[in-house]
Amino acid sequence: MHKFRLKFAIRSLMKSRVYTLLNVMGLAIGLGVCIIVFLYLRSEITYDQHIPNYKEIYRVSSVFRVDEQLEEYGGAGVGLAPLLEREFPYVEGTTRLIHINESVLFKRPGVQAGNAGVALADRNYFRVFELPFLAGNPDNALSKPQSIVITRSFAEKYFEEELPLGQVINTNNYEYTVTGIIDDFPANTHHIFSALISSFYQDEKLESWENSLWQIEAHTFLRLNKPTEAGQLTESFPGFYDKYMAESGSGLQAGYDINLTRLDKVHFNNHVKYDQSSGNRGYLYAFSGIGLLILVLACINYVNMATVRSLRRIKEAGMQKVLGAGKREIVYQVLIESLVLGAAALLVALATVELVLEFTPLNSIMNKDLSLNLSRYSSLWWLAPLFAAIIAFLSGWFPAIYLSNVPALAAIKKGLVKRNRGLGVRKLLVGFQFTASVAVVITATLMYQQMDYVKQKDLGFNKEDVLLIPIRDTLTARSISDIRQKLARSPYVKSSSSAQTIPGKSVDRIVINFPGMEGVASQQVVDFMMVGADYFQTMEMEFVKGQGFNGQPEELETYPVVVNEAMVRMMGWKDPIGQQVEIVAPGQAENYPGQVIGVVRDFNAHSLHDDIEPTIMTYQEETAGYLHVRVDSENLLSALNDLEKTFAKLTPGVPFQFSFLNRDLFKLYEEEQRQSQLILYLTYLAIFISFLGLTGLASFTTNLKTREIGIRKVLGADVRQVVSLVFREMLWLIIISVVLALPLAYILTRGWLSNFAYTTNLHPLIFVSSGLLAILLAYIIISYHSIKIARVKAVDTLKYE
Amino acid sequence: MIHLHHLVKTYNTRSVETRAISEVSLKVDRGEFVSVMGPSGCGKTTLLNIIGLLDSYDSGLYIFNDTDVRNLSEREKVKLRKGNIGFIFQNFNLLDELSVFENIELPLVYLGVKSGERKKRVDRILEQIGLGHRSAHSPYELSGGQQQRVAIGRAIVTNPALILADEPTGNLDSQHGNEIMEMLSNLNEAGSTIIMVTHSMNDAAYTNRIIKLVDGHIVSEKQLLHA
Repeated sequence: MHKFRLKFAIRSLMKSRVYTLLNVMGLAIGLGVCIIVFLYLRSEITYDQHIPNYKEIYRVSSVFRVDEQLEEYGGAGVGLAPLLEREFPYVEGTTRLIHINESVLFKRPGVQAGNAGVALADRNYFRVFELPFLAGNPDNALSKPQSIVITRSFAEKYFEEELPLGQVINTNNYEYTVTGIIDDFPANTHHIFSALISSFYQDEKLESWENSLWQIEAHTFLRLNKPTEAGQLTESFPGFYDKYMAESGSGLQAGYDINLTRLDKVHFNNHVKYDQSSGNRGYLYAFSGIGLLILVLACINYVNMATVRSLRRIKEAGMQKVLGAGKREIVYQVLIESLVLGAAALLVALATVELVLEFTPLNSIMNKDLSLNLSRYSSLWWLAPLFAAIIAFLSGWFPAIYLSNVPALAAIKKGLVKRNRGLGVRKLLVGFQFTASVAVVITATLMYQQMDYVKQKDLGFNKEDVLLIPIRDTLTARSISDIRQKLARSPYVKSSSSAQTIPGKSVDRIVINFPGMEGVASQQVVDFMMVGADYFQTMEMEFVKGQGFNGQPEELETYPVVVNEAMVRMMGWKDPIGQQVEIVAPGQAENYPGQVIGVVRDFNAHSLHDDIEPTIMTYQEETAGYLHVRVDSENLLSALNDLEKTFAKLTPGVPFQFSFLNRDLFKLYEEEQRQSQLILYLTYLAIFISFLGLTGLASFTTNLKTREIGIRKVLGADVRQVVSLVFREMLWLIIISVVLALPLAYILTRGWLSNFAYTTNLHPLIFVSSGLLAILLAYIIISYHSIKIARVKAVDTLKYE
Repeated sequence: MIHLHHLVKTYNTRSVETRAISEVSLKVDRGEFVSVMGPSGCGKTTLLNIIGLLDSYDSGLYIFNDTDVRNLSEREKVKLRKGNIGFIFQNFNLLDELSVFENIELPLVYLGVKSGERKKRVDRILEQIGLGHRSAHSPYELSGGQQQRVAIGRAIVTNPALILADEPTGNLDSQHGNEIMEMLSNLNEAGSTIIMVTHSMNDAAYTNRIIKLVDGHIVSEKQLLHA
């Protein structure tokens, strides 16, 4: 019996192939998006859960209280861990970890040198983090100085065929012995490094431990046996504070406390500073919302199209009833069809998800490594079919009930079933689809416009054609003058300069005293940059007054400084040139006296999320930072060639790396870029699904009107009049949808744009043209269907029914 | 088997009330072959639909096989209809998705007959209607006469006590029409009770009794004696 029904369902679906194809596609899109969202959510909420004992590990964060302000940092002083272990015997173990943010150059004879991300850890790391070892002994892997534990991919890169255990590998300054190999980390971890170096071997005395407590140096982790011990520890911490920190605290006029966060909860603690966590719950909700929206749009489609199809099956259902089928049997039959469709859609969805994750940049856009990995997501294999079945069941319900209510007489008599029953609901559903689609179209357009604005905006310097070469080692820093001299001879290099930082990347803040001013105005915190000779020329910055630096000043009483217009405005200087400033150097007895020699036009030293700050710049030639090289864009390759040769000669052994300033700057908007990309994908899907939905409704409406159209044609109506007859019916629906979509898009976009200090204008034309475009699109779809019917011979349409 | 007593059926369209069946009383015994005749719109099909439990009536009494059907729920009517009544229509009403075999099989599926038994019974029917060689074909690949034979096969596969036929030869030429009438006649001789609506005197001549309906009233009844 079931087999018979299944056969009937498949035949019936195969008979209306176009319908089945569209429906499977629509449903597959909804399911596919949900599967991707599921993988994404799973990856987000299982951070660090690859560590077998993650439930026992707690991260210690430091809460400082200064001037009644609380600030939380994801690290602590290096002495905190051993002191906690000493004071609280139930602490099973502690460990400290420091991430080295710049990658480190590793060398081995016979192997291409390369950079790798490393972290420093104390000897207890693997006693707290019970990571399985592929080789070596976790108990003593980090117990000797100059030991290194490497990941599988690090081993494959530097040791190729050899067995790495016990072998030696070098950096510029040190030699390390491999003492252990662990597996690579999944993408959803905060412990991102490919090698772990043993550290913290200084003579650790109680006194130095105590002194370290006010500094943030290392991520500190505790291992506790019972969850209640975490609360116990934080409750009894004030005793610890009184014993070790109260005295120094009162001198600093500050307070200190700790917070314990279980390892797997660290990810969403993103208010914490000095932290690796990057989780954003808002983003999580938004992403789930998008998934749900697409699914709802897809289900609406399914219901619509299945109901349209039901119209053509009224007679069939009636006939089945005459032959003895009850209501239940009809419902059963339609639901089986729905399940068959759902199963097909699930297969298509799984295949599509696999292809999308494998061959499109979606993973890199989301900064994830999602895949349909069965062993990793075993739950997916029963969840996905179950979910598909539920969706198919729910979507199939409406058409099933619709058909099962058809009386048996419908097989024989015409006009017995009100064919436009439920039309209002369907119009509402399609209207919802349309509103959502128009809203995302407008949102995507505005996001795109803002990203374009970010790319085009005049930043106060010329970001094009500037190459950046990082200066990370002392050899390169000391060779800067030589390098620049050599580069000056290249016909492809226009100008070059060193600077400690690049715009948009961690510009320092510094305290400046203004002698001669009084009260609040006598001391200000401003942006601070150290730049080399020719910096302003290389960056093509404009001077409003005065000039830039001319080489190293001789032993002067005052240091020349350049300021921006924002600084002049803040200080209210009528004549800025010659103004005196004092740069406060923290930890040093004396301040540096300075004198303004030039004012540059305001420039965006930060990303466009932030306003331009008052900025002060001093001269420093040999500094760690970046060499800025303005090249001839026509001869980029020759310029690069010259650069590489120069560096190879003057800084042998240092790998030549470079980037483009304009691209680095655009990376500041990675998050927004990612969001606008995702919204763009969403837009394609929403448009596609709404197109299906509108197609369904248009074909439904024209079907209802077949007879009317026939009669009108007999009476002399032409094709255009027939189209407008159908279009008029749906025009209001579309107009209302568009009108609702406009404010929705406005609200969505404004929230997103509020992240930027500099934004493009929300031009009303975008809203109007998107709305008109939507109406036009709808008109085309509706025309297609009405013309199809209008073209049929009037006699044939009259025979209909 | 069938007992109608002062049956009334009215249709209400806006303010106009139309009496489709007016005070019809009729008895049909087991083994009879009755034809219902009359002009278009006289209520023949409505009467057939009521007898077939496809349509309701407003007043009067209808007893089918000793059961008063007045207060039966839709589900009970389905149950009573299944296996007891077979239908044959002027336009065949075969399902295009299914093969000839499966079309005939369908009522057995709804009756919950096991698959092995179904095959046996359908094969027997196919032989009886002379379409064994066409069993895997789709209905639209057959001629009109063949399609009607499939429809008859479908109507009799459950061995129903009653067969209702609504102008079974209406869409067929006279040669195929006679074939179908022969077939119904044979079924009747084998014991089936048949009620048939028809316009054709030729077809009515195959039956035992002719009932004439005008404006919802039975105006005459005529017994036919066959040699």
